[in-house]
Amino acid sequence: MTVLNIDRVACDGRGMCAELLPELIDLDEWGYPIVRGAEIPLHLMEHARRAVEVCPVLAFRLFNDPSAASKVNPRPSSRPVRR
Amino acid sequence: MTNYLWFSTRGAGIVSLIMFTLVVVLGILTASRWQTRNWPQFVTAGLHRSLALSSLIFLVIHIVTAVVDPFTNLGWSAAFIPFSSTYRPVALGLGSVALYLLAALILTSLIRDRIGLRTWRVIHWAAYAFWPVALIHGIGTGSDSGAVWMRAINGVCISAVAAAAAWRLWEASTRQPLADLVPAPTEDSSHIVNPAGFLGGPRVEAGTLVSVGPAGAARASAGAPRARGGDRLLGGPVAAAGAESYAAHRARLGRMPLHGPALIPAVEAAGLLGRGGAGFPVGRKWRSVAERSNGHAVVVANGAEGKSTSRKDRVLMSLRPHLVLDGALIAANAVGADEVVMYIGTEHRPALDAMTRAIAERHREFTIPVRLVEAPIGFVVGESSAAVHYINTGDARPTMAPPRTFESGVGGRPTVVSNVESLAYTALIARYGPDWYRAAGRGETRGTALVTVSGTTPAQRVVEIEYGTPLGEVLERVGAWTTAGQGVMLGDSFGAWADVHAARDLPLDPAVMKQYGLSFGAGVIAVLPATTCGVIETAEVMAYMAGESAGQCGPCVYGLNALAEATQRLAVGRPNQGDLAGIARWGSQLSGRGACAHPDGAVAFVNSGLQIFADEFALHARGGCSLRVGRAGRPMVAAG
Repeated sequence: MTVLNIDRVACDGRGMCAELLPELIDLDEWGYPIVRGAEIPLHLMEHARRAVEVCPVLAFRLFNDPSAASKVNPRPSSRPVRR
Repeated sequence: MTNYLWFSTRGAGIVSLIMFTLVVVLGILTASRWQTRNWPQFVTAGLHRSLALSSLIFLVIHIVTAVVDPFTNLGWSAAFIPFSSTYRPVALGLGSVALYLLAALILTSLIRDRIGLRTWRVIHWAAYAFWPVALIHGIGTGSDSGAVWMRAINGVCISAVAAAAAWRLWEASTRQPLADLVPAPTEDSSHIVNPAGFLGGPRVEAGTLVSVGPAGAARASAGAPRARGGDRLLGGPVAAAGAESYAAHRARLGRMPLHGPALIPAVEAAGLLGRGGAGFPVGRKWRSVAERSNGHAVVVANGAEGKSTSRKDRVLMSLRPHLVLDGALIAANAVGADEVVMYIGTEHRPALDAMTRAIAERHREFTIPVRLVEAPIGFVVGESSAAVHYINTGDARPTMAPPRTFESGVGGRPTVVSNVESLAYTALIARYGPDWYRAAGRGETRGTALVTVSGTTPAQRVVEIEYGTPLGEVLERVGAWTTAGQGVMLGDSFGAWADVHAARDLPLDPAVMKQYGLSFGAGVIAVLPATTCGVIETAEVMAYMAGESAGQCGPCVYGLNALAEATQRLAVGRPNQGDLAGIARWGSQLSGRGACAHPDGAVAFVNSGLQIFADEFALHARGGCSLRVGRAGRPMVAAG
């Protein structure tokens, strides 16, 4: 399974990913992506790859690791995490 | 035939120039975010890329036809070795320089993801050199340079690039770096988190440890610290005696036992949960590092409480430094680490002194290096990726996962980042076993934990409790109940609000608290005094949290600012039209959209405030305040 992951430090809200993948990504009022679904369905794979290609800051990333899904959105607790 | 080649050289050169111009203009438009309703940015970026690649075709035609043309008699060396030609050496040489610049631009762009954005960007600045060099080459060598139509083409190209560059400069001047948008700290650089007055001051007491625990909970090996009376982690001499010496520590608990990897299943069987806030099982974390270590992992003992309201880590380190050190060395032995880093907040002076002395007392016994790194003052410095980032680079801002620290941490090696309380507990589990550990606890979650109580006590109190002890019991024992107001903050950092009266019987057990949407976190219990307004405190804390964003992630910077401003307007009774709707929207949008969970924590905090102080918020929205402390924006009475 391929999942998308946005590097939030790198992302500067250009919004090209939302142009290419409106099915999965909304933008907030400041232009930063809100991921509606991290799993990429097969029919959107081509668009997702283009989003990786055009993201000007390399913040849009795809991972193939099936366990990546849980790592990408790891927040079971909603508190700042110190370990 | 020779004419055909010669015309090809000239034609392909002119087409290349026009294409390069388009590529540069499109590149500048991409960088400056130009778009219209019908022309989205990805079209600009895609055209920039495609045109750059197709221009190579014309460039190849231009070069090959020029070289093979017997009339020009250039030779390959003139084309590829700059300024080696006898014919117009400078102008022709610039052509080969442009060729190499273009090759660098295109090659680095194709492997952009591998060389990293910073390197790519630096190299891509060469585009601003490439284009003029190519243009001058054309003007200097071109047989048509004097012709009116060629002058027109050159003129249009120059104007287009100049206009685009001017637009880019103007556009860049309108942008502010994200970090500059983080509001200034609400409290001057004081390292004590105390934005709202009731979170306690610099004074911390661990002197009177409460005896909270059922009789007979501890039935374990003889001589083991019993579960009663908070005498596990903080067992031994009274707090007033200060840091326990190595001799006293050994006399009380015996030698440090090293079981190697065999300790990991024991820690797992004990069910020890991490004490830094996330509550992740310690054994599972160790196992994932042990699987990757090859004997070269790193253990980071995390003793940086940052600006959170928690005080228990620094108290533990200042009283039981050798127990913490035992834990770090035992962890290293269990996971296969050859380095230990004690990461301790630079403002935790007594803890730092105690740990420094402890390391000095026994450094001759160390088989692996143990170094102490002082964490800078800040709110998110104790987040695990921030800790590793600081140890590696001196930058204590969180980093984006993956990779996680257990995969690639300190020095790129698999790294255990464990809270000092978690580590101290493993030093006891190594001695007395998982059954002893599980003998304490009143409910599902077993063991004891340190908590920090503040707000309605004269000083902050760090006490050890059994998991599952009701909130009211803890507050009564430390004398924090009588002046309690409506709310209590539970969890880590600022945690979440709960109604203190409704939560009187709430067991402080992570499993139970989770069912109520709360978190045990790092054991913070901050009671709102009866004289203090919950709405104003919520707004103050939100302003504080917005100011403590690391300034790296857009959603955190913009979202927390917006939340802080809206809650502040509500608190002073002058809300804007969309403030409540905005808070609700941001509250549902921000979670999970930062490199660390700082925005998640802020959202959980403000949402719980809206819920617990719903009536008070409604009153404030109309300009009122039931405690009449409203408009000043600060409570009249601060406890502590």
